[in-house]
Amino acid sequence: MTRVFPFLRPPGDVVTVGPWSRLTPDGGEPLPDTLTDWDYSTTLSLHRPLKVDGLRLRRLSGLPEDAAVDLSVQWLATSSALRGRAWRAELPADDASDLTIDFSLPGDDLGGTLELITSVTLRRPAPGASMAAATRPGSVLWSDRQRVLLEGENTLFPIATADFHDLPYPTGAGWYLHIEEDLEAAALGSILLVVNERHDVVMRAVEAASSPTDADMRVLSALRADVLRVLVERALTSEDLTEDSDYPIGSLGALLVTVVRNAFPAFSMEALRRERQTAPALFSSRIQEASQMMVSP
Amino acid sequence: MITPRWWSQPFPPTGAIASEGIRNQLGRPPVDPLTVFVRETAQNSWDARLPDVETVYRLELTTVAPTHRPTWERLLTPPAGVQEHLGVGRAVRTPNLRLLSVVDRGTKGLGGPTRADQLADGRRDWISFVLNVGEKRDTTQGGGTYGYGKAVLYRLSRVGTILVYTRTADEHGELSSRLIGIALGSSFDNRGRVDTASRPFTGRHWWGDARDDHVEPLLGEHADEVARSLGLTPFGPGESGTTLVVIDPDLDEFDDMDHAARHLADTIAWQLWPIMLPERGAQRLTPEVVSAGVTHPVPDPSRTYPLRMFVAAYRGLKSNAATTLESGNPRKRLGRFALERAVVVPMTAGAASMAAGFAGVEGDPHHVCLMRSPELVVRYYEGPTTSSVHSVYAGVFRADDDLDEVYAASEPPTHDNWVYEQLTGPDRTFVRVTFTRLREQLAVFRAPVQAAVSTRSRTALGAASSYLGGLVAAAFAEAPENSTASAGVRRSQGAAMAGGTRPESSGAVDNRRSAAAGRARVTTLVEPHLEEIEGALVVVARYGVDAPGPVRLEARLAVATWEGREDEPPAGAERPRVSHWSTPDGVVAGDSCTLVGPAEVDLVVTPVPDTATEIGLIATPSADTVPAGAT
Amino acid sequence: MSVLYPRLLGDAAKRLHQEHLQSSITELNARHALRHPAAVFAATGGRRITQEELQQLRDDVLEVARRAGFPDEGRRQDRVSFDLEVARLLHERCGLVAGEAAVRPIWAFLALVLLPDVSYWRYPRPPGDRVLGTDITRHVWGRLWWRAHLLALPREYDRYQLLETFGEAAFDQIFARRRSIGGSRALVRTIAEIWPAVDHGRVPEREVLIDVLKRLSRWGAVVEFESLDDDELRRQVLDAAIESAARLRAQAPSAGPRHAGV
Repeated sequence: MTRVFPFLRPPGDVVTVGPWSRLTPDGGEPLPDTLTDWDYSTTLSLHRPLKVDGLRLRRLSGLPEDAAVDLSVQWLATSSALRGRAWRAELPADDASDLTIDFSLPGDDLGGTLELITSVTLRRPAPGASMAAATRPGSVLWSDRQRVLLEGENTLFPIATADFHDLPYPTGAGWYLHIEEDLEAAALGSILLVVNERHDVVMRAVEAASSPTDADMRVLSALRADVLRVLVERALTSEDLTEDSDYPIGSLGALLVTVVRNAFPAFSMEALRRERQTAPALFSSRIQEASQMMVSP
Repeated sequence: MITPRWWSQPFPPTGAIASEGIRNQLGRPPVDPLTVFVRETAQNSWDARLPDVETVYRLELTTVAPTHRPTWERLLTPPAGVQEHLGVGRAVRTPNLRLLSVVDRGTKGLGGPTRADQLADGRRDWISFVLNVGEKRDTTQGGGTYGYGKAVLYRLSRVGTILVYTRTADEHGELSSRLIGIALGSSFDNRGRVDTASRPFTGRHWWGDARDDHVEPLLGEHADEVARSLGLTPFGPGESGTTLVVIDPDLDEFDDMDHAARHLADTIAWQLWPIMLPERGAQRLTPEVVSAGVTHPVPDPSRTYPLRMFVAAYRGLKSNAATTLESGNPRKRLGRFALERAVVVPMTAGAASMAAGFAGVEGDPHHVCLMRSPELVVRYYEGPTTSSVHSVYAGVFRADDDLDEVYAASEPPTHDNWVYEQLTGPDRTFVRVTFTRLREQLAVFRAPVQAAVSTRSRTALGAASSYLGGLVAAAFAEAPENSTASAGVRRSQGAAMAGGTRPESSGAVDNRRSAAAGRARVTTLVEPHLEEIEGALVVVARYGVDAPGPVRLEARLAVATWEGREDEPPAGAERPRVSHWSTPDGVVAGDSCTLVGPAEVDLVVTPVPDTATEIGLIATPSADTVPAGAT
Repeated sequence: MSVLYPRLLGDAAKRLHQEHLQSSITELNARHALRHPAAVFAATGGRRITQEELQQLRDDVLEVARRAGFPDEGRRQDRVSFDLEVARLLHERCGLVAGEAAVRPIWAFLALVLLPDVSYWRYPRPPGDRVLGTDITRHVWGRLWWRAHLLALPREYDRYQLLETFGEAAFDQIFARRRSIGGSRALVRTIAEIWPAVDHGRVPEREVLIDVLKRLSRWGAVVEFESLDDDELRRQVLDAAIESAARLRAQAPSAGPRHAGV
């Protein structure tokens, strides 16, 4: 099937679009296909330069030069199925306008895939237009869409921040990995890494994880090693947990078994338990190795 | 009334600088004489600015009007003895003699004594501009460390000649005008002439109130009267300033004066933007370019890409976003550095203006603008290009005021670079380290674009979470697709839906191939499009039937909707319909038609206003259908 | 900051539903809980709701339910006002963002773990989609939150004044077009705003709405409604509604020559 619009539309090249970019405090970065670090609390500052030949656009749409035409951006989120307008400006009647789309999009209504639809629309019927020209306000003369996957395929680890002053954990600690008792319960409802908001160095590293400095990287590496250690020790101290245990997929028990197997593919859980008892220092080094602690990527 | 005339300077017994020397003081051949011209003259005007008023800097491209030409010829023709050494004589005899004038107002004019051998305690503007060359300036935060600037004026004039018309306050505060002409030719001697004693001349000539051994300017009302008779821009009441007139400027590389004027306007924007910015208030240069009475606007630097990025960086110098660059040994603050980044549509090749090219920024910026206390552009220092053509940056480095003299001393006469090699000791280190620090600052651009810090109001933990996710990923990776755990984690709601998108579908033609006679091939020759036929809007498409034999074509029409295709129309609403088919055998009405291939057919559809029409074509080989008919 | 709710995933939800179907309201009341071992949370994006908050939410909903006759059967009209009140309550107090509210398993948790008694009271012996996380627009609680979200006015004193505009059956038509018209809060609100001005005569409200949505859906293929100013959007929606109402009134057999009042 071919779709034919009921009015004249100019060729696509009347608008030359630049790339979408995401503004950051020190400039911008091109908007990637997937934003792995997005969550509801993220406000996206988006930006896109474009060049428009507003005269040619109007002419080839059958519109007079003074026709009121808008350039706007609509967003559409696949998870919430919500849509809305993010930005709008009048399109100048000029043969070469440089325009910059610039807006912020709060995360509240978003999720799944975000579509950004840039469109040129008629604002009001233009007297003196050609018979084949668009008349209904909002008629789309030109449009372009870009998709961004807001959540990557990466498995996310449950994480939250809190002030340890308000929690029963040591106030000066950097983090606490909370693991519930029930091995049958869903793993992601059962584990939670809590980062201490009072610990500046760790907080900084966790916040900067999308573009860590070398120092942040070392903190994150230590954090990951410790998380692995707690998970492994939790598995080893549950005497009833063995390679053969039959826990449901996605349960805490299944997760712990998998974590141990991936970290130490060459060892049985029984051997690890023994080593942890008899040679704890060696076992500790093994964890360091398995977690690639302080190993440059 | 004194009639102004030319006087040529003989070599004094003790020697003097020959005019070749002066003309060559600009050093290496300038890339673009007009760029140097704008930089030097604007700097002169800026140095002469009066407090609390905007400095007007106007470039005028004019031709000598026919009414004024006889005066030019009468007054400016040199005496016969030097005519061959002073080209202005030929120039004033040509019709349409071009002039390029620099008019500055809100400036103090050229004042002080008019003779170099008079002692002057106060101003020496006149002496240093008109008489001396290469003298050290003492202007506070002056841009020109040495007064070499005027050399470009003579180089730009094809006859090496300029007029200087200035109005300045005398020691009593009274405004008074001065007018003089200056020419720099080649040194010569007049051996072989019989009408005068033979002696060598320096090639420097002055025009004005010629005395025995020097020339005084025309003064006061007399100067104004002569200036008026030459058609020079007059001064308003209470106005001071200077008009420099380059006679017969060399504009050969431009098609016409307008082109030259546009280039001058662009050049002003690229070279003078820091002192043009509105936030400077009255401490600001207001440039204008006028060609044959038409004003050519100077591009607004804060709105014109890519200059606006330099402006943004400059404005960021005072903020926390800027960095102070330092030298380690000896420890010293070198200056402030700010950077502006952007993601852009790359400029097409050749889109950069000539002026940008001469400034050294021939396209999208990856440069740092160097400046010191006068805040004039020294140069655009080129940094590494980024890994993406979409990613650009512009920086500004402004030298610390404490080191102003050091940087100034490192500048060549054109003030367009900092050359540490011409310095010694710690000064040399400071300037050299400046470039090292800049390279360090720009080194990040050599690397691939890094994921920058995210902008967000609250702590977002997504990145840390996915970093740690690797530990548990395997536990979920083994889970089946609809695993409870992973489905929850990904917050996904299934695949993107079709509704709400407006799919651009391809394959307009559905060739139904039956196993027996599957050779009905139909191609779309002209995509369905809107046409106006006899006052009605219709959609027309042209199809070609390749295979021989009868083929039945059926049009499937529908109104496209937001969700896809409309099944049931709204109450009483129209649907698109086939108007007719134009076949080689004539017009056929109805949704289908049968024709004998190979052939071409036009399908004409009447659409419904304000709706999109979906058109599909079904082709069936039809050995057994009735030929050429409706359904 | 967004609040994250526990999510009850597929199999666990189905199991609970099968058990609940066999139970009385009193048994369900005893079976409600603030947590469930199979429930999970989103990894990031907000803070997890606390047990106290879940208890408060349950108490609030119970109070509204009691006014509507809970645990007795009650009148139909009471259920309508119960829905409206709960829609408002959920949207106002849950602290849910739309992204999270689009996650079906959170609704399964609310229906099957936190509020099983009220859920099975509101829809006795419900088909699965009323309580499981299969279709939010059918879900006993999810559809109410979304109705409020689509109709809530930004920056108005009475944000929920449009909630009562449509009956449940009519609003289902908007839910049926969740992926197009039903995703545009601007469009849904505008339809609700002009709705009282449309004279549908004896034609059922739902039929008129279906017809209006068809017209808007046609235009939606060539028009970007989100690019329009409020006034222009209202004008276009009103045009469609007046046209639909007029056509349908003219077609309605009972309308006959009768003059339709405006």
